[in-house]
Amino acid sequence: MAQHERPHEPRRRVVVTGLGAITAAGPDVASLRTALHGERTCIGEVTLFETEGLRTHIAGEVRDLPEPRQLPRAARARASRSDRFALLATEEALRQSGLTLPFVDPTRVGVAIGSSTGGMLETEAYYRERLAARPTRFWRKRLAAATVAAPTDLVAAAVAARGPRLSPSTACSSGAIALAMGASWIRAGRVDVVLAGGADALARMTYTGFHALQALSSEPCRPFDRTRRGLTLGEGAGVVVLESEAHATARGARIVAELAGAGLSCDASHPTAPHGEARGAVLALEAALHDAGMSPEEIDYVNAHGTGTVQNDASETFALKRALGASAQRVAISSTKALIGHLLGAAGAVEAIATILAITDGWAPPTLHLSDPDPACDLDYVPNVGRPLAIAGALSNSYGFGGNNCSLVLRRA
Amino acid sequence: MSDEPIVVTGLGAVCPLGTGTQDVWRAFVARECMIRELAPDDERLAPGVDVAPPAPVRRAGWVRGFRPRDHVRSPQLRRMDWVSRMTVAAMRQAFTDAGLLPLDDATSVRTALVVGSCYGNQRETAVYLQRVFGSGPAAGQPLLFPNLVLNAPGGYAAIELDVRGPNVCVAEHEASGEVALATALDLLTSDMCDVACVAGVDEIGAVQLDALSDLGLLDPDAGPTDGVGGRRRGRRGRMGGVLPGEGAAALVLERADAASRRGAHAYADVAGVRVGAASSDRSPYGFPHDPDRAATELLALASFPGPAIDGVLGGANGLVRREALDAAILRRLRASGRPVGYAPFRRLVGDWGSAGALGAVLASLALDAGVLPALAPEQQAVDTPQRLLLIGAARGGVLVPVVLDRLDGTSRCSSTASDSSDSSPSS
Repeated sequence: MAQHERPHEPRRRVVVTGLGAITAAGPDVASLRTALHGERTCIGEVTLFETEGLRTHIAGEVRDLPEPRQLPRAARARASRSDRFALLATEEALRQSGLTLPFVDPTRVGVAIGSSTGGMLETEAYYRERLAARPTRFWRKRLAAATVAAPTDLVAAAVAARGPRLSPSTACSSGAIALAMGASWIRAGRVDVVLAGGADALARMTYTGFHALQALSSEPCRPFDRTRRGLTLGEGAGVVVLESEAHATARGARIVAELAGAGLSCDASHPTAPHGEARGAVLALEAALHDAGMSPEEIDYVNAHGTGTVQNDASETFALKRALGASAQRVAISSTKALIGHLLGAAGAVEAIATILAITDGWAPPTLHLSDPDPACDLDYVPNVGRPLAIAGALSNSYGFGGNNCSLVLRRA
Repeated sequence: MSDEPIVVTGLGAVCPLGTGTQDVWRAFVARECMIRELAPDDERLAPGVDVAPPAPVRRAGWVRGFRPRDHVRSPQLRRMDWVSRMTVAAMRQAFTDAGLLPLDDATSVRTALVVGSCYGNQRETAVYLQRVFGSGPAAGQPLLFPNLVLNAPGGYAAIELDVRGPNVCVAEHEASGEVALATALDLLTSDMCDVACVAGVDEIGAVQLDALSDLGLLDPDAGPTDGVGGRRRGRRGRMGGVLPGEGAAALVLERADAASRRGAHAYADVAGVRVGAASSDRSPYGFPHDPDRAATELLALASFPGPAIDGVLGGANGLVRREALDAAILRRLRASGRPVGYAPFRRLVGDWGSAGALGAVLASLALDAGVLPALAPEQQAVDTPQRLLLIGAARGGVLVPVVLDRLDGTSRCSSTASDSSDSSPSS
């Protein structure tokens, strides 16, 4: 039996009313939109830490990090870079949604922010201090605050949300799973609003780790290209305001898109590599479509996980062909990682936002640096130049270490 | 959405009380305190395993006598870190206990794994970073790196048990175990799976011990005789002191009708788990600072239809605010004069971020056995508890009550419970 064979039942619709993003493209959604409509990568030299001795020195680093307005006093000295990303994106998403603070009923507002490494950059600073000398109390307090759950807790505290909260940490699918679980709370009628997304900062651990696995490209990544040599890391956050359609409509909010469905699965085959026949990715795609009550024919665009590693891009192409059937040849597919890098725990959320922008703008963003297509990757990846496209339904894929897969279905409002 | 009752059909544990639920239950009923000094020749103090902690903070709830090879069959075992090994073992025990192994194709894709962990793999993270800082960025170790993500244990467990449904790892500081339970229920009720195995796991890391010690939050003298409300302060500071522990505990959850159809034994009915936050806390870092208000709010979250709460598995861990919350909840529950049992199980094993999962395992065993044992001489055991409350709370004002109900049926561990001379009933 497939995971999705249960009959589909009518249920509460989950809509998106606000978007917030901070990426290498800039500190807001407008910057990301500009990048998605352009043909220039935002990837550049890493300045956050030393990369001496490595084969690569580039990433999608955030250059402009303003202080979040809602940052609680207690967090000013302790909030990590990831925490600040999460709060900045939340503030922007709330502004667009028209929701104002304080919330009418804070117990009906949930927060789900995924992160792969949380405050690892600050944790590393602690370790370095510890190796050199006894760390001061300042560093110890920062260590205690630099957890994977910290972005969620900071956002919840800053906006005084008292509903359910969740910090999924499933490597590169963390942000997507946060959206999926947040939507499940709304569908269950437990909350009216969820601030859902992902946040991750660059860190030595991930940079040197992917380098050690020989998974980092020495030049900006080239997803689906025959000469691709690996991924390029990035950092930032994406947060969306999810609401029940009834709640959004009642307050006269502008609905940006619908989060129509989600599918979660696990390859159960290897700690880091995708399954040879992409069985988990296929399962997640099929489950997401079933959850949305949609068929492959209703999908016009796919925001691919598209990391630029040899294994991922071929495996994802295989999965799309299996799950979408003949529609795989028709849909436009792009990887936005060549624009802003791979944001790890934030990737799923930021790419869901990129997918929503593709829907609202009627624009399929490009896959940059794709000049020599891999014969094993033979679908329409919108190479190098974006194009106008009417998009009614779209998929966003996220795959992580541990064989962790999540596909989201987004639909025009 | 599904609102069918969810029951616990499988349990597993690797913790200071022992490996396997039989050992764990026996030690729990016997009130054995497992907080010990780490032996100088313990392999965890060997170079390259962790950054050795200073001697004064080696006293903790260490897992000992656990042999991963007895529980893990996958060739991945040699790559697994300590956290993953404990997780995989506890999950295998729980699946075996539930009678679900081996999983067929249909069950595999409809089964979810949820792991809650506060810090994940601390030891290898310390070793990895020490090497990167000591020898330069190019010294990152490719075999170690995949183990450093928080969801590595869930990934290994999926490979070991061939579980292909949703695989989610969550963190919520001191309530990571309880939030993992809530997430598993979400997956079940939203029909993303038919079976969910949820585990809470954390290990003791030297750097964590070191930092807690320097912040004055460790209590090297704490033990099982501490009273609720901070009877003995001793060397502890204003905020109290905690003794760390480590371990993994796992529960298999499934819909009651499905469990019944396949003839599975159910330990307990999951009345509900809710995640909320105290209204008085605006700091993301502090534990609920108004215990009375937080107690009222936690009990409001815990108000599921069904019998009255007659036993509490407390969250007391030596920190003043945490003990005050337990005390405030007990005051409210006992206000009508009704006896309510209390088992602050962390006194036996120490505390770790996801210890709530062990609390849920102990609550399930207690409901199944028909007794919640007393953990201190001045307390009384509860005979045939009908409803147990597990108090989950964390910094940031997070409140996560877990409520489990007794089911009628044959117990798997009643003989062990009745053998205990210390478990005299109070009602």
